[in-house]
Amino acid sequence: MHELGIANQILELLKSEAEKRDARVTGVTLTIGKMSGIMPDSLVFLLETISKGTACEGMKIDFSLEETRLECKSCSHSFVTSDFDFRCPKCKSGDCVIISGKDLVIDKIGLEVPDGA
Amino acid sequence: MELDVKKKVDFATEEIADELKEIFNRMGILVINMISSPGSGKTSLLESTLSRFHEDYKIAVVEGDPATNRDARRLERLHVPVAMINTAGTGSSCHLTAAQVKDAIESLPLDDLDIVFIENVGNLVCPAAYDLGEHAKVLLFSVPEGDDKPAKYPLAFRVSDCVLVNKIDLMPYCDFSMDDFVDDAKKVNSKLEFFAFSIKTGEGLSTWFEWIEERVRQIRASK
Repeated sequence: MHELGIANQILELLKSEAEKRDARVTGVTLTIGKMSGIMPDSLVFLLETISKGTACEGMKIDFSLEETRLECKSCSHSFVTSDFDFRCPKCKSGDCVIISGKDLVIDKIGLEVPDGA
Repeated sequence: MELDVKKKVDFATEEIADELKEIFNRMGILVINMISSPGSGKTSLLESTLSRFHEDYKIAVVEGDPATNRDARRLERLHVPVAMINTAGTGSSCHLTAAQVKDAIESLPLDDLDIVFIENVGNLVCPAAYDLGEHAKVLLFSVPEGDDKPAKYPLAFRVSDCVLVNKIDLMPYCDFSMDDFVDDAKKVNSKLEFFAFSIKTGEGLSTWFEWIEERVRQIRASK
């Protein structure tokens, strides 16, 4: 259930962006890494729930998943893993570092700014 | 209007974890984050490890449990400082966070410590995503949990530095292939070290104790 804490972090950020412009948040676009340990459905459900009664109520929540990408330290080959085999498919080395897929990123925020603001 | 923010959410409080790491390095304290399923033997391992080292090192424990202070009471019998984190009601009862550890260590005599063990919440999923400023993540596992777990819980094996396999005295009663277990774990993390032992019988524990001694030497040398 740790998505609740994460949903709160996102909501606080969205609210502060809205407040700065006296605006309402109409949408948010997220990128969720497949290695982030975050369950997208839970996160969306919780965001919808806790945004009720705030400037973010009813916002459209879109997300895309980011693949887990690794780079081989032996041969520099960059590859995506989908079955959690973290060995380099080219040279079979196990010395590979994760270069993306662990993060949660807020890409875009849609705002409805009142006329004249 | 649309804001193009591209902002990373620091959900794992990495900044605080970095701050903790800096404190632990400066003070020369070895910090070990112990991850496991409930019931694999974390508290028993701490009991035997604390008994082994009570004359050599000054040790403290940060203890995370969703509810009760039973483990903390078990450990206090060994006369070490224990900082308890009850995670229930904090909205994050599945893992410890760096922020919680930072609060908890305020009650510990950091000036006078060699090792801090952090006993994470029993869970192979969420703790894997959260750094606590530790020098090593140690994944404690037990034979009855089954040899298929590295394939099922890859993140926990990916982020750990070593895997301790407990309850090897139960091998004759469980369909557990150590070869399959190690092969699957190495697919996700080729650098893993493995230790197999039984806390109950004491078999194999000395290699784990040697690993700790070596890590303490490294931390002291780099202080």
